[in-house]
Amino acid sequence: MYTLTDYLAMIADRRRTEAYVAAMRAVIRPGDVVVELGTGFGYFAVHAARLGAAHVYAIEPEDVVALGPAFAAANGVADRITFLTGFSTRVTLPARADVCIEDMRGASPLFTQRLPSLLDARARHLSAGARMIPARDRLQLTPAQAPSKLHEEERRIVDDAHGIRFDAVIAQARRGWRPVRARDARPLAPTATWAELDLARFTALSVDGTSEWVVETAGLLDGFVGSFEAELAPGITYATGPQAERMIYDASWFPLEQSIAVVPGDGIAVRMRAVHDGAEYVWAWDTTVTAGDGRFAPVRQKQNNLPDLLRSPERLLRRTATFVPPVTESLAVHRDALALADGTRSVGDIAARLVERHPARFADPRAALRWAADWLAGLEESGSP
Amino acid sequence: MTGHAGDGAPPSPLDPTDLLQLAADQVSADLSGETVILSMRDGVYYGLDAVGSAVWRRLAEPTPFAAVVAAVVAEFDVEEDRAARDLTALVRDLEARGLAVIRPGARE
Repeated sequence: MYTLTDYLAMIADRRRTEAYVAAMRAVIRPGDVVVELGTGFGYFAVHAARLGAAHVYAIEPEDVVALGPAFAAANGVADRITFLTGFSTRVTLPARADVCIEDMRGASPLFTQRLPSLLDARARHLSAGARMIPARDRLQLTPAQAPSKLHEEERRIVDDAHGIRFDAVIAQARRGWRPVRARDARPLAPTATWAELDLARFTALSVDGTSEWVVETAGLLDGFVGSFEAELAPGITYATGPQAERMIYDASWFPLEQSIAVVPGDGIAVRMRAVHDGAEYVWAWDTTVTAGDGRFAPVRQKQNNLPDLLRSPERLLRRTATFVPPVTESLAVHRDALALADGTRSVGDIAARLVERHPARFADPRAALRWAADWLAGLEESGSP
Repeated sequence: MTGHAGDGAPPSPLDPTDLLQLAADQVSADLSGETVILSMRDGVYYGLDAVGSAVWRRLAEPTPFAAVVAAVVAEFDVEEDRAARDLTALVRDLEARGLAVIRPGARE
């Protein structure tokens, strides 16, 4: 869910913005039909029109798209941009596009529905051989000592003055990834690419790759910074890793369950996997650390964030195709709300009847109104069919 | 196994020397004694109960079928014939879903 403020902050990141504008200059030819996925209020779409695109289809699911037509008019290109509200997977364009522009990454090129949206765009919105901006994303890792903030936080918890042991909790916390500022981590070896996405050609949503390093700087190997290098067009790139300039993007921190002290000459190898489960990515990182001088036997740690995503076997069962949902009070409330929303009743009427039928679920009519209004509106938003 | 499709036909038998191992294209985790598996092949989740989870843990390394049966007999109160029959079905199911690989052993 991005707001106007988020879009303005993205545009204010001049390194990102100027790279995209340079790529558009290099790629867009006069007369091209262009589609932008996740256009916001249409900043890149206006650039594309000014660069000579015959027409731009600017698609955006968030409310901010309502500002688009006035923004395009103020920049003299309103007649060549069509704004479409909704997910790109649910709209149909009158013509196929020659160029696709998008930045749906967030901290990672594997951001939830980005690759499914691009596969759909290639199948339905783009002509054969359409040019993509970005052309490629390289998924990268940097072995590193954790940002001191994470270390301090963990130490403050572990040094509990009341003698309470936190081992199991800390171990669980180290099983999942978390957002991090890449430059806050201390790299122990150079950033390396573990997989490359050719956005015009990829077919699989899940990604599997490896990286190997020789340690260059002594330190505590706490985990890996996950970042990316975008190749927007040939020769136009930017990177988000620890050695790069700071950008709007966060990075991802993939911790090791047990930190390992390493020195120059030690070897680190990682097999990284990102598995798309239909809604989001599950990450798995298998790490092997080898002492260059043989001072310890190779250490192997296998981790993934499944326990973070599926906190119990019951939650898993609910995701399997054979699960039979029990009829609960909550299900009855939803079923009633759906039946009442028949195109004739106001949300206030619906709420009043829900309170009558399910008095134990709602404290008062106002609570029912708030719930019904939000729930019905949510049916039109992200994740709904 | 959660989500078992089961076509009714008996699974083809395994030789005691057949080597069983987890496939590389999956991610799994232990959740309170049960195992959650996400297949990289189709992005589908599978679940294993306590017995299935004990088998799953053993298959982290290549393991002869006979050793898996023996371990289950030792850990759970079950007869060897029954264990072999049930484990054959489970392992063939895992294989069919791309979650385990079976390499022929040195059959006599």
